[in-house]
Amino acid sequence: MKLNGDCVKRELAVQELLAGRSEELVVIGLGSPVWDCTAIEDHALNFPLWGAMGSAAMIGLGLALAQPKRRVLIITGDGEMLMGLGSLATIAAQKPRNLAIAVLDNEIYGETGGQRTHTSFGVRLAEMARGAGFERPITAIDEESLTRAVQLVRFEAGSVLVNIKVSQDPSPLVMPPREGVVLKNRFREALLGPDALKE
Amino acid sequence: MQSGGIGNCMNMFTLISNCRFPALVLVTMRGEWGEFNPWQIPMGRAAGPMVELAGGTICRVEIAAEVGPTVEAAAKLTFNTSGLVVVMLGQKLLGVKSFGK
Repeated sequence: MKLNGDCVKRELAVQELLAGRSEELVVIGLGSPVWDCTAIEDHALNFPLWGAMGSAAMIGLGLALAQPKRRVLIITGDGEMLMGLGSLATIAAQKPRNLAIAVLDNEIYGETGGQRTHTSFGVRLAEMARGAGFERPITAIDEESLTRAVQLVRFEAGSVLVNIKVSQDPSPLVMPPREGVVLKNRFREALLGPDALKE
Repeated sequence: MQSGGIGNCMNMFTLISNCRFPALVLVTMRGEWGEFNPWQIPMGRAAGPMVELAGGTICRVEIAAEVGPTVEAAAKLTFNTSGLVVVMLGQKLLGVKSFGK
């Protein structure tokens, strides 16, 4: 299937989103976004999901509220975001100043055979976020708007959502650890220090 | 949340078991003692088994004087052992929603 409109290369979008990343806490929705982000770095401050589809944004909200001085990035796919749309309303009601969602929108469920998602039928996630109360949500469709999207996601205060239309190229199959407790503990240790594991 | 909400949580409960997160949930029960609305019955019956299927522990309360001590004990259990603990506040304790009938 082909995207309905213009898009940027998926690989480029992920590289730009994570370029020079250091202190950010990154929650990654299951499937291709996990492989994309892990291919750049299997960072201890990544929390990649292997299941619980639809939960990425809410995990990000919990982290953003618990760690108000740290920037929280949620990188997920359109299918995963569509499964947790209620989280947009919950985030907008809480209005954390340190939360950003970047949706990699390729308009298909890439992991299950390329079935069309609702965004391929014209559902606009940025408009839904705007309706919920997100400030300045945008849709990126080319390199110029991708640059603006990255600026918003990485550096601007508020509750941010950018929907990035990306190509349907398969992601590199670079996988993080699969064990949930390992992922949790390495994240906690990197964020809170080694004593966090003694609690 | 109310008992019906448990039904909406099943896939999210897998986060708790896979990652061993602490999660304390207080549930007000419907669909049992003197229920008026038949649509509440299925989740009233299923909420407990669903929590158990998800690997959670249930602390059930039917007597008002036991609410405080039960929630306190459930909180200790949750955060000392890292898992899903659900306090179910029975409809007998809460009172029946009658819709004025």
